[in-house]
Amino acid sequence: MKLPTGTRPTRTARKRKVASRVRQVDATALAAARRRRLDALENDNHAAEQETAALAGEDEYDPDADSDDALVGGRASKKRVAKRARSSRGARGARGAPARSAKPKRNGKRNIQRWNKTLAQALEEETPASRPGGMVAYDEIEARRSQRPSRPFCSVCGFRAAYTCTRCLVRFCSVPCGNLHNETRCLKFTA
Amino acid sequence: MPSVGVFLDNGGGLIKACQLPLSRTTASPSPPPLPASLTVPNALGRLSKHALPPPPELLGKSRRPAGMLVGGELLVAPDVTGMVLRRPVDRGVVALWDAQRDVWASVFSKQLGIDLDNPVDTALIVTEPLGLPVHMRRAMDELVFEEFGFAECAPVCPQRLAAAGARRPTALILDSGFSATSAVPVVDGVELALCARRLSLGGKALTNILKETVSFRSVNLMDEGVVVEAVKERLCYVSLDYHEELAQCKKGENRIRREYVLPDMSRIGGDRLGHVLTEDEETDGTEQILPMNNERISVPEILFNPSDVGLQQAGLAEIIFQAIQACPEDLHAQLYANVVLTGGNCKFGNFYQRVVQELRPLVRDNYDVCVNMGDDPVLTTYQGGARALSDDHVPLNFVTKALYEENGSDAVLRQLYKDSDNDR
Repeated sequence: MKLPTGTRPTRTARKRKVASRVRQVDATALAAARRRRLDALENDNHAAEQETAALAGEDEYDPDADSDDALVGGRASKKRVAKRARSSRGARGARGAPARSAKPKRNGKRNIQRWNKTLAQALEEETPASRPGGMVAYDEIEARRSQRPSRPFCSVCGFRAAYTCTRCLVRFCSVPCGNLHNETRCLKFTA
Repeated sequence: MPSVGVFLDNGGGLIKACQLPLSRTTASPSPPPLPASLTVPNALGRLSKHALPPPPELLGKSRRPAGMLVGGELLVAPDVTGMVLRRPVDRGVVALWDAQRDVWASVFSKQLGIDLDNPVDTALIVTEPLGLPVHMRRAMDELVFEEFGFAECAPVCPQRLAAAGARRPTALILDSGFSATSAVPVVDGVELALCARRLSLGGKALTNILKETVSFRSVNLMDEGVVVEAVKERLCYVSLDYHEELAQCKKGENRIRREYVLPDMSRIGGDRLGHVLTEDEETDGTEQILPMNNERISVPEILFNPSDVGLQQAGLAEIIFQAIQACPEDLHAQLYANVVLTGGNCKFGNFYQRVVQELRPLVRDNYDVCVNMGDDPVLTTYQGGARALSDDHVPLNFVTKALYEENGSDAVLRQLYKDSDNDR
């Protein structure tokens, strides 16, 4: 058997596998997890439902057809609605605004759906130049950091916590809560 | 000149609206009593497949898909378990414009009785939050002028109206609503936009935190947003001594713990949102009981200490302080003496006391701190808006449909923001 010359022989040539199970989650992953959690707080529905509800297809109810004297029949089929939504999503004019030449709806009204955009998307596309001088920007009025230190509370039961998870820096108060945290929420599994 | 005015406070949780004859030119000596507000959830809902359908006489004739409810119809649904909501407003700004159009259409045509085919005689006052992206501003123009065809529109900052509703031309408005909490200084009836501070936590976030917490600890309610919201409104309150009450919660028998009976739709005549279990109520052991212990105080506590959920922003009392400190110093005394609390979160028990308790130590002792809250803090903005329709004490900037059609939304932006350029 030949040993590599010039270097000290290591104990084993195999790569250590346990590292990923016990490694500490790094700061960026922690920050990302925290941001994901804060974003999730603004969801209307539970995660899986959120997807389906946000998709435009399920909401093809037309307020014009809702009035009592509306004509019966002539409703757009699901396919046609979806097709219209797709094509209008593709058509974007300059300045990020939807193209003004979008096809009017059958009753002469425009398809307002093409303006749908989450706040994050709208902020991303916005530049200081596109905003008039007197209009304050979303980020400008965000509350500044607090003067107070953050307080430790147990992530499992909500009472004051004395301990910190060594892997993901989340607080817990006792051995049972720590075990529960390790089994369910510890970031070593999710990050 | 339109003769009818519509005011619409486009809140993330509730729309508050009214319709009044527009008499901004002639200030009547005795203002008429304000009409009762029309309050409608700003949401579309889809009933779960297993839910009881609402009685058809409450919905009227409609050819929309079965189980789709709009705005006010959500309030009459007898069974809300597993309902999927689609709210147009995301973090305070409208993101889903088709949903917003549907809710507005139902408010205008069904509840306010406006003829949507011929709204040329109608002016609209609508609230728009500070810090709105330009995209949303342009979309609002299209919705108001092209979808609905109003003759005039005045987008206005809701806190400006809240100051008018509280009858204080100079005030610091703390608006803690469904989508965000903001502290906005209003001076002589106009807001100082650059001094405003927004904390990105509102009623929706609190409901979701409660939902997450109880689902993790006891009963899985992840799909029952409407029920959890009712639990929050009925049982959560702001603690005046958090650590002390938390220590009490830890004891087995304590005066904070309550139990909530979750709705059970398999029973005849079950209540749709459930109820708090009273002391002398008999239970037969088949009800689903949700215990509420430290969750009662820990959820509203997050408004005052956002760092508890990892949000790196100052708490509610601190943003009042930050907003006033950002103003010129000669305004400080007047603003600290006129702090007005509005918005739905103010309905938490002890909310007012906690704000006073936290704000006083932050402020220099030669300033008086005076905090005010109306009888119904949800409606302060509405009262200001209704007053703006009936007299001309509230500065409003009406944009006409003619201007929009002639010169587009760039011209609208110029008209709305030209005069506030010198704020910077």
